[in-house]
Amino acid sequence: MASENTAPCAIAVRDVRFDWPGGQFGLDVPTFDVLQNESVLLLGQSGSGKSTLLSLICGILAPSQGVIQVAGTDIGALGRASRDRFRADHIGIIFQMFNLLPYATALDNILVPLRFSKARRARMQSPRQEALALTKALGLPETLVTGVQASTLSVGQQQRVAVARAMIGNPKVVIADEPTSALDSDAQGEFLELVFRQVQDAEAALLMVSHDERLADRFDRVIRLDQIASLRRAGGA
Amino acid sequence: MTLTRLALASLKSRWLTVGLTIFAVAMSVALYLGVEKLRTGARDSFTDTISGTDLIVGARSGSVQLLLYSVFRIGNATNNITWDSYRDIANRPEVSWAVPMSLGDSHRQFRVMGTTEAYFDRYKYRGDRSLEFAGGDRMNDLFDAVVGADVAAQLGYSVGDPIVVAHGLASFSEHADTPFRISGILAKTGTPVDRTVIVSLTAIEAIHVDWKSGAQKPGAPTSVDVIRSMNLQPKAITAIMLGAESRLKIFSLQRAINEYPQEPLLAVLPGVALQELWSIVGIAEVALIGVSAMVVVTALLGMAAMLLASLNARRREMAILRAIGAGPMTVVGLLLIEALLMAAVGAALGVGFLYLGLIVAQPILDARFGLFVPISGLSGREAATLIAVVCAAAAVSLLPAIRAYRISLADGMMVKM
Repeated sequence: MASENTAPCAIAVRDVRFDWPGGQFGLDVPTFDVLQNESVLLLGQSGSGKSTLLSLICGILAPSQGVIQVAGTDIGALGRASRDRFRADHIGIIFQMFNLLPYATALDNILVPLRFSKARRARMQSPRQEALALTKALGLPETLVTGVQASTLSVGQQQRVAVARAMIGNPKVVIADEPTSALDSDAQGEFLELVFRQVQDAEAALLMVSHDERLADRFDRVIRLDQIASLRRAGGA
Repeated sequence: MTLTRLALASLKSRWLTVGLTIFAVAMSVALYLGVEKLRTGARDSFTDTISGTDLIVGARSGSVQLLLYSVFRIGNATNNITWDSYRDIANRPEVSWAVPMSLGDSHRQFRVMGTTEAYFDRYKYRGDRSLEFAGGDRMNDLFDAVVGADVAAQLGYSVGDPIVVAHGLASFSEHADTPFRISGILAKTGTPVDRTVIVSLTAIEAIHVDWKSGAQKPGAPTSVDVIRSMNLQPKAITAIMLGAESRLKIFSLQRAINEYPQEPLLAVLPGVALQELWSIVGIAEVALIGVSAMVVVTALLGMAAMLLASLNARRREMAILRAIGAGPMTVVGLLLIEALLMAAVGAALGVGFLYLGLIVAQPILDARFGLFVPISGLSGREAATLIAVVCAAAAVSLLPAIRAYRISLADGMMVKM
């Protein structure tokens, strides 16, 4: 299994080169690290390759060259199915919106990842109790969590359920892709507060992608995407 | 939260389209199984038209033709059997019993058959069921007639009513001078007996006393009293039902009759002739089963189209599953489970529809058409059909499944709209 505690980095990217199928575009990331327990804000506009970078870190895409270590494991060396399992075991993901399966209850949504990860399931006593504890900590009433379909929740409530789903089973790496952009500014602050508290409790690293620089002061470190990565076009350099 | 529960929740959220798809599958399965049941019912009813008779004998023609006129009362005999030949055959040592039949007259649209009382004992159908009387009794008098259930029902006859027998078929020259009385009405059998008027062999002779070559002799008709005093031994009959002393003797008896030197005769085994006839009629059966199989295929293709159409709307769903660690194969699995669930529920519902339909239709089919469709459990063949439906559902959903695989591989965890 992954030796999570020996490596100092939660995420370590070295000399990664990725080519999109067709060879029209490519992305180069020479070096990029997120330390354990560290919170990093990655600033970048859409189209700057951030989706690609996140997909690489999450193991959806495999690099053409280079090494991507997540929680001490070189995921580039894993097969596709193993990368999927690794993601299920070790990474919690929060999107901008549309995080939830609309037809399932919030509770079912939170518990779905356990279906794909034995490791997460093994890290907890009673999944249901822990899911309810999480949602209580995130300020969601239990009736909303167990009684209704996720599609009936407000956007803010859905985002909190998404946090609970990302955090269930205490993954060591949490990745958030513009999780606040669908919220109004008051709710944004409150939501970030909740995310930070959960990530700190779980002693996880947080990599958040956003284009909103106002969020910067809450993070340990702020990096611009163009500082660490460069887009390549066919025929270009 | 298992994949199946996930699939169920997803199906439930699209209950209207899913419900319609399941309904279409159920209806097609019910139709297919219904046709299958009707088909076997029709075949059994058909081959059960006559049983317990070892050989049917008539003038030499084709076996199907002999069967048609002697059992189904369709068409006419090309020739008669002389009474002497009949006596000869009936007295052979291999013959256990013989029932002569004389056909050729009609009453309204129904055939009249002259026979002996033994007919009521020897004629069996649907295994070993004998003719039963719904009212009245067998012929007691020369001018008594027994009518089948359809004859009584369609012409509104009851026991004791007089009827007039016409000479020949579809003829206007009625034997009005010799009226018959209905002595009994037979219970419904689902065989051509229902559409037959049965009189004694001597009665057939009696109504032809004053007739020659299809026309009434000129002059005053012979009075009923005179006819009663005449010798009414028939000179010819149309066909004979034979029972052999032992099953082993049937074939030698058949050969002996077929090689009968005095007259060209034909003896057929009813079962063999019935199968021969069914092989002609059965082409319609194959067409019917083919059409209903196509309906099942259409319903399944509809399901595949529905799944395919839903894929675009479900890209986010697939992306979410990928983000939380599901592989593309899991997405494919989810889709296949959905298809299998729909097909299985559709098939089960179809079986329900089938039996509901059978319960409603069985008495109607039996009473109207004499077609007895037993309400039995599913045969091995039918159960295999249901399994085939579910397997075919999996096969046709491969198309949407492969597409889902491609989409979820391309989209990853971010939907590119």
